[in-house]
Amino acid sequence: MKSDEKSEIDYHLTTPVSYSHGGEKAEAQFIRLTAPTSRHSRECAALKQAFFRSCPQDREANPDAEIGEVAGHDVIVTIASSRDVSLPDVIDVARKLFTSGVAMVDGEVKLTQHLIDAMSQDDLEGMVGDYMVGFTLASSLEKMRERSSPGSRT
Amino acid sequence: MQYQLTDATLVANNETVAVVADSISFTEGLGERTVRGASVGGGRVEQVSGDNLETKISSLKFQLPSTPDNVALARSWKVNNPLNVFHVAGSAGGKDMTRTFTQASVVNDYEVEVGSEGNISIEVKSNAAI
Repeated sequence: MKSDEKSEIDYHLTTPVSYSHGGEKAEAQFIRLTAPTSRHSRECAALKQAFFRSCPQDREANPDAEIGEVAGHDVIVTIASSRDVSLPDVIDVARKLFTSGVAMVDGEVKLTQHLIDAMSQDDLEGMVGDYMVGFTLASSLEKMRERSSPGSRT
Repeated sequence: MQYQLTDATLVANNETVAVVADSISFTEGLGERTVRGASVGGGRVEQVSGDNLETKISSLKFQLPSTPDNVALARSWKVNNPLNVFHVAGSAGGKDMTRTFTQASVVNDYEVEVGSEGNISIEVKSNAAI
């Protein structure tokens, strides 16, 4: 991992979720997302492929177009706008990934199926987008940015 | 017309648990109240009552099918005493019922029945249900 790559990011929930911790009920404020390992390669590959399949076709026509900062929301909008990629399938893959141990509620409790069911749809989609930008697409986006930056062109 | 509560979801420590049908029961934990008659003479009595605070805890009982996963699950709750949280949610006739049991302990030394219809009977004591 490069030194500038993060090993974890916090996704702050817009709608708090109730969960159990230490024998009491608590309100979750954020989900700590940790970098995937090769154990998650199938899910990560599926997410990566979904994004690149959904990238606008005009990118091929104009490969030199500069790529700016990409936010998680942009990734979800790109996938949702695609005719070739199913957003529900992407969300299903991401749910499987998140409940496999890479997501911790308030950084302490494993995100379970029950808890992810309780999350709002906006938060779930936002978390998927942030995870993709932060981890599964990070190196690819960085390479694309390097190639598209004015200094790299001859 | 009212509808009988026949189905409920049990969530233990943020995980949904599949239980034996019709096996969930609980007490509210509102406690028992003792009422006595104190003699004031002339054959008359005055009521003296008081809450038995010792009974102001909830009890939750249910059964799990005896599977290796459930044996491990029950053991994990027992080890985690008293830091478990159980949540029961059900609905009938469009009306919801939910109860949460905090600081919950598995109090019985549960028996794991081995057999085609074997179950594990779990008994939990907790703070009064909310």
